[in-house]
Amino acid sequence: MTTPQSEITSETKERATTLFSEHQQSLHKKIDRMFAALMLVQWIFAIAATFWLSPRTWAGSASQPHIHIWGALLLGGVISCFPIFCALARPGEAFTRHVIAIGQLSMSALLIHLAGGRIETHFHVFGSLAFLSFYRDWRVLITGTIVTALDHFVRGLVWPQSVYGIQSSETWRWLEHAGWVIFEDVFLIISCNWGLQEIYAICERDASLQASNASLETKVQVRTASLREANERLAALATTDPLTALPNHRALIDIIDKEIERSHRYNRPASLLFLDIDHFKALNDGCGHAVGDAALIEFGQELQKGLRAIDTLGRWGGEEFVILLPETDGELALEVAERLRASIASHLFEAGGGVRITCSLGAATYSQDALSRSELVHAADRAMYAAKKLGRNQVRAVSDPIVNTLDSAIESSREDIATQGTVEALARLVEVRDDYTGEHTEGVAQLASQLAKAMGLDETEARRVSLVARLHDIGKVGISDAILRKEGKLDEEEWRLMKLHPIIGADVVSHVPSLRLTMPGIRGHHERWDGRGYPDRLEGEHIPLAARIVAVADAYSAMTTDRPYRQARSHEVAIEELKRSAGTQFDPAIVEAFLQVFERATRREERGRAA
Amino acid sequence: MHRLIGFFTVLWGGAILLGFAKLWRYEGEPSPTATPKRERSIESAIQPRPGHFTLIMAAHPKCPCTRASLREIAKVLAHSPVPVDTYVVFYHPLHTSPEWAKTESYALAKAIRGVDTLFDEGGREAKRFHAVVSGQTLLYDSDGRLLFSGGITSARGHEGDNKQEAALMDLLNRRTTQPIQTPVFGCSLAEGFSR
Repeated sequence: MTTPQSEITSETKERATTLFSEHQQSLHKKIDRMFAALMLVQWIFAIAATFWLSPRTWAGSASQPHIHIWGALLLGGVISCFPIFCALARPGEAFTRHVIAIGQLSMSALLIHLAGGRIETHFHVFGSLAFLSFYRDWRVLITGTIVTALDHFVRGLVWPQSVYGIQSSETWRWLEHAGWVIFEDVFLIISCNWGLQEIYAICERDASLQASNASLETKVQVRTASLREANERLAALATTDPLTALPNHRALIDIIDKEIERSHRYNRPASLLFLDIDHFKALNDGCGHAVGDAALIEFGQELQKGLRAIDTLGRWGGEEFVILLPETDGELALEVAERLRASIASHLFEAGGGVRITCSLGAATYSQDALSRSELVHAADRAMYAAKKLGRNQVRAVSDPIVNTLDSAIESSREDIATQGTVEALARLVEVRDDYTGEHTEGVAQLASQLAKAMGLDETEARRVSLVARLHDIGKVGISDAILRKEGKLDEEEWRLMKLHPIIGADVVSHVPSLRLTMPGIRGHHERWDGRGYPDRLEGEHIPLAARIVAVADAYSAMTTDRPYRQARSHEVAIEELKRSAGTQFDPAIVEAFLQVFERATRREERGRAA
Repeated sequence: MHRLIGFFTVLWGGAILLGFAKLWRYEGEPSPTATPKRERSIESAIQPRPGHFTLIMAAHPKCPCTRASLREIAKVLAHSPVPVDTYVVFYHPLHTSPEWAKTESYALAKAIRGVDTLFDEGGREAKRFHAVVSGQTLLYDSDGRLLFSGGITSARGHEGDNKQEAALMDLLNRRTTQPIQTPVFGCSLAEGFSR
């Protein structure tokens, strides 16, 4: 039986053998290239050496090139070129190695010959064999040795002097020379084998390492895959509503953001439907949360049936759902919304044993109604809210004017309540300090409001004038009682302090955001048309309109009210005084409007009496 | 493809063998020599001294092979048991200065102890001994009798122990008194190459 360990070992050995072969092949190619270079250099060297040693042969004064020149040039070329060609054209092949061995040892023979058999030249043979051993292939050494032996054998027979240095008839001398070469071969072959063993051992270690790395890599991949799956599960949990299995609020935000970005890039519409189940609380309370949950699931499923593949339905929260409709304009979105509404309204929900559920839908479209995700959601929400307000089980687009009207009504009523509370609180402060001022400001407010309406100001402006009038003396809370309640005339210093009350008043209201717009009117209600008023000595229409209106109403009220230092004047006297001061103290147009208010009131009274 | 490679390999091997054969043939082929004179020329500037051997070598100063012959002379003189009057006669063409002959070979000869060098304009001196090849060596005994004539190398430019040199040493050692003639390997002292 084969154990896993032995399987790994077997594979490792196979891999080691492959690595060893690759290494040897690479080594052989490298040595081939080195030999190609060496043989070229040797050839050039042989030619140069013959030019130096025996350039010419002589006959008296005549000379011609020495045969060694031709020997080095031609024979050296023949010996070198074929191995060089093989090294370049067929590197790494055994054939090339053997051709190189033959060529290299032939070159040794030639160099020995050209050097006149000098014994030193024989070192070329030993050097060549040593170089050939770089191949770590003992067969190549044998080839080289055979060439050398043959060379010595043949020359020993034919011309021993050229190879052995002495004239000898001993034919066995070639064996002696070959023996020395073989002597070197033995060591080189041993060295080659040791080298091969070491390389194989290294390859085995590399193969083991690679196997370990591969095993590790596999483990890492498995772990990475399981981690990825876990992350995907977590991501799904983080982006999916666990009850309905629809995208949750967080996922919807991403989806809507991406769709808006895409729509913006391609200049395409995208619509958003905001749905809220009508009276869902009643269903929950009446039938229990389990039924409510079941209804939510069924509601989502029913909606999904009516959507395209590119649409996204998600649970925004509670009983609120959102549907994103890419490539859908406002008109088409309304059609889809109406179809969904009708589908839900006609569906008999299995939850709770068969109940009917309706929903209200609001629709908004990018970029017609909104330019960002938050604006789009808010717009659809507003439209849905309007649908609720208008009776539920219906669809409203945010572009429907009634939505804005409802919004304004809601907003203004909220603002009114808040502002009214503040105004009353401030007005009460004034009353606490000074009874007269409290009553007076209420009267001035009524007069100013009538005057503003008579002048044709819109509701908002008229309301602001009324507020200015109600709060115009609020700054008197900062004036001491000694001055405020003094029965006699005020001295110069007292007047200086008294004149600060418009500034104090403006400062007080500046701290209430909803009353900040009344600030200019309060500060300017003692300015005069001719520019001699206080605190800023504004002139003509530079004085805020509210301030000019309040100034007239305030003056009339003051004149027609009893004061500690004088009795109240009659209406006629007061009117005359206003007329007289028009164009100096007061805006003539406002005085004129003020007169008309009273004339109309007088006429109404007369008509009433006549009737 | 394999056949083509095989063909080229055989062609290559054949070319190498042919090349070597050509070289060997040239190197081992002696230069043509003339029959040497048995007696010394009385016209020669080189005259014998009683009781002394006289060794004369004709040399072409620019012949590459002659360097090997000069090295052999040096060895012979070093091992000779008797004093030998040795002359190396350096050829230089007619109407040329002896400077023509002052080459590496000339310097080598001058450096050998006991060797006298002579310049031989037009090879006249060499002709007196019928020496026509550079490296041709002549050994005369004290009576002016020619004992040895020929080369003292076994091939062109190949120095080292050889039969010719051994024969010369035998004569000097008086192991034999028979005149010996050997082939000469060197450049011609005669003008012009034979075609």
